[in-house]
Amino acid sequence: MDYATVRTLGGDLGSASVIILDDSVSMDWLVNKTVHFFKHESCGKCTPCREGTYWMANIIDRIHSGRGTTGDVDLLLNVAKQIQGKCLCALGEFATMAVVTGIERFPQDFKDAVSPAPPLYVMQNEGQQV
Amino acid sequence: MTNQVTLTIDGKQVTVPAGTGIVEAAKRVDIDIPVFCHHPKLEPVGMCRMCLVEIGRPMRDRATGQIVMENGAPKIQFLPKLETACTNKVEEGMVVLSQSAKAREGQRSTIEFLLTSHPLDCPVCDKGGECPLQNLTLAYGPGKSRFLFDEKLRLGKHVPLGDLIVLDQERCIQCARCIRYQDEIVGDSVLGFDDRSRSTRIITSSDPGFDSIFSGNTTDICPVGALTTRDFRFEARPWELEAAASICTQCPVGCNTTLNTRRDARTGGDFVVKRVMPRQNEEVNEIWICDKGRFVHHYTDSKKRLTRPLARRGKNEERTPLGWEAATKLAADQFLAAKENFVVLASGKLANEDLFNLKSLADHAGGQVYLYSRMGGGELTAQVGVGAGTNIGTMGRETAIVVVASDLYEEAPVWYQRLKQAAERGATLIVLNARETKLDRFASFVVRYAYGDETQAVHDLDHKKGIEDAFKQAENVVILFGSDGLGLEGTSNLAAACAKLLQDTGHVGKPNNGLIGVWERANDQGAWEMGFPVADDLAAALNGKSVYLVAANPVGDDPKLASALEGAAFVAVQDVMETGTTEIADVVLPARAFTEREGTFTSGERRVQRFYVAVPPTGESEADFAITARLARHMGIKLEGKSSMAVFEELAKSVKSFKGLSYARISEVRPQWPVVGRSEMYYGGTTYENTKGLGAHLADAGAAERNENASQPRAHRESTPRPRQNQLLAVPITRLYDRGTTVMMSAHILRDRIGGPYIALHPETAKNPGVEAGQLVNISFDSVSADMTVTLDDTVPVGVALVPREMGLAISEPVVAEVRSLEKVQ
Repeated sequence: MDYATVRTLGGDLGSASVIILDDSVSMDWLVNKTVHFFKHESCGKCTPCREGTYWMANIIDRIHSGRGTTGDVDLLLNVAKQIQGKCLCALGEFATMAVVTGIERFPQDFKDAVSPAPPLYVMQNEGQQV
Repeated sequence: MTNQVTLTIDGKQVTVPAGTGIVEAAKRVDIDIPVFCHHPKLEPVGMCRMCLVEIGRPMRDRATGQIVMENGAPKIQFLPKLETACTNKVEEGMVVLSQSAKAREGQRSTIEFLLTSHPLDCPVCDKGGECPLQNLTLAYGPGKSRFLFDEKLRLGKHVPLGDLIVLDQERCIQCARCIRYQDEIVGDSVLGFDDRSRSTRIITSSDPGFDSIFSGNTTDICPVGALTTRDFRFEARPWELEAAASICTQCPVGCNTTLNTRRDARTGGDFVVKRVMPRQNEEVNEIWICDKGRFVHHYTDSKKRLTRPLARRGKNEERTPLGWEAATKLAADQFLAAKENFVVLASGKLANEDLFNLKSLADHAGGQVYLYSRMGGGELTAQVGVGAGTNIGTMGRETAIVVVASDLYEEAPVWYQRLKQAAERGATLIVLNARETKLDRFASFVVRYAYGDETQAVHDLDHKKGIEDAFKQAENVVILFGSDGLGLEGTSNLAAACAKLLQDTGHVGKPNNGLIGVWERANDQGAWEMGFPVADDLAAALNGKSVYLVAANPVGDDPKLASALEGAAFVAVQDVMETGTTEIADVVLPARAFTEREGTFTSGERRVQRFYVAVPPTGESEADFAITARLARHMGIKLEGKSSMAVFEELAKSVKSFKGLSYARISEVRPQWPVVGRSEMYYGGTTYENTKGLGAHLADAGAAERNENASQPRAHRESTPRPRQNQLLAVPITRLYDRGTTVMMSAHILRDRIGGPYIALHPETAKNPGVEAGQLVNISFDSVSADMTVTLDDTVPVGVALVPREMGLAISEPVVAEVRSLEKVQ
């Protein structure tokens, strides 16, 4: 495991601290942990990080506690990508990494966590490319 | 010459000075890049991320450093991420895309993020209708929210930040404009952020809360409805308001204002002033006003307004209402009979037109006219006052600014703010005072003298080490003199010393040079220009005379003057409100407030500015100049009484410094930077655009007149008494929120700021009479004796008692006083 190899897997080694999980853990648990961590760590100065981490925490809360719907998973991914590339510093950017890779690499974990009921909100598609 | 940089924004080429931000550059070619946290008067911070744009820069070859060409033009390289247009400065050849799909997506994202926590309570929000968040949401927002309404944060809706400003924490978007305004422009760092992430809140760190006299300005630049004033919240919707251009009457700065009016249920459907807003004049107040100017307007619709003429038919009879003709005839007959014993006493609260008619009346009738002022030296500011074209807003490195015997923060707040910024632009700011003032913090040099040594301090100024060099190097010198610790004689002597210094060093008769008086009233300078003198001994000048008092309340101000007026043969009082003086008047003539008529004021910087009618007149009241014209007619003197414009024409014909001025001339406007106004609210705030006139400077006095004046002998007798053992020197000082009649009428909002009567002592001084802070003491001097609360303040010189003017104790000049401890109050 080195910086270059991890990068090819879509991750980043960062300070090289590693959390090891076995397959008994669902990825929505991990995303819930990281999102809450970043929500707490956000300094609140710039809008996307301050509001985005708060919003993501609300959505993952719904998913992780079993109140979520399929639409919530899409929304979470969408919000995470909406944060990307707009923050004042790198913290907001990092807050989205586990969310995006978690949902993209482990879609089944999220599918299992939510009910197929229609989403609580109406997804707006106004050409928002993600 | 600054370097110019050419760039392309949305396909438009623009050339601006290097160092300009992209948002500003775009504005120059009418391209609006949306912003929330950015404000043209503040340093950019890039917090809100609303101004995200695509920025491309000419690509350079890594090896050679040469610009890479492509199809005959420099190859433009865009960064993968959007960048903020507020924090990025222009660069040569830069290409900015503010409307590309990517940029629009960024802007839409920011709006959506901001609205996730926003309560969307526009229907009950005071800002609704003039709200940048509302406007930019319509222009750039996604239209519908994907955020669950039930998950919105519930926060404090009415959190007081001090007694004047209320914070709605739900509406706040954490742009920090208010914090940065207080830090950068005012220098009162009393606001800040508490906590972090989504728990970030605006808090005040001062005690009392939001302890700043500029707090109202934060509500103008707040891009949402988070900050509202106690005065206006829940009072009216912005679209119901009429707007009338006006000039603030509270001090000699002459801030341009807009009076927002509306019919109000509380007044039975009459029009009233609902709020006072700043109106842009970059040469006077920029886009700011102080809290006094903003909140002290309630006297104009007070129940104590005079509504009809009253007269006493015989000496001991009751006063009864009378028609205008009969009342003015009655007074005119008395004045005619009095001949040279006819005295006019008028204050600088009056407009130029009023003062001109009063002076004409007295001159024609052979009477004497006086300006009601506790400050002297105005004949000098009329001669060596600042030259036409003076603008504190452009003063920098080449200018030395001297402030002597004035606490500008309290006396003329907007000048304080402008001088602070001039100092930050590199102007040499020299502050001379007997005590510490807030402006000291920004001064290059601070000179302390003992009260009484003001004149000497000015004499010695250009021999002092350091200051001497700064003075010599300065291309321009401006001196502002005030009345901190001084009476009429002291200020006259001080003005003479300042005028001499300016004359001797050649700093007169040109822009950004000259003398400015920090007068007590808005139009004192106008009166001085017209040649109003002050009476050396006012009590003697009134005693036994037939007196015409206009906009002056000597009875309420000073017991000595009250007894002098008891001995007057006849007293006619013309004023806006009932005062102690109208009580003793034989004839009372009700005047219109400045909100009910038009006219002009001359600011301390010798700028003539026009104010307009905002509301209909109260009762039968008439404009001062019109009343004076009526009175004059009964005395066989013809004065213009119909149109203030016509009076001004007469004034411009007969008073030299007004020559060339007209209503048309002072109503001219030019484009100003930054742009403000209805469609620009997201950028400059809710400050009104100036469409009604920037005013014009008075003409400079000729060199011959100046020299003649400067050669006049001045009193050099020591005007300040020296206290002996167990005595103190009591000196008058000026406080922004005093207990004067006009301020007290707005006491329902300003109560805690005004406070009770007090004197201030140094803790060391207080030891001898053995008094503690908050204790009641008896202070006596001359024939005055009063019980006052003591505040302890270590900026007060030892052996001195500061006595604020209009705070319950009449003091007109420095006096020796005795302070005695009383029993402690329970």
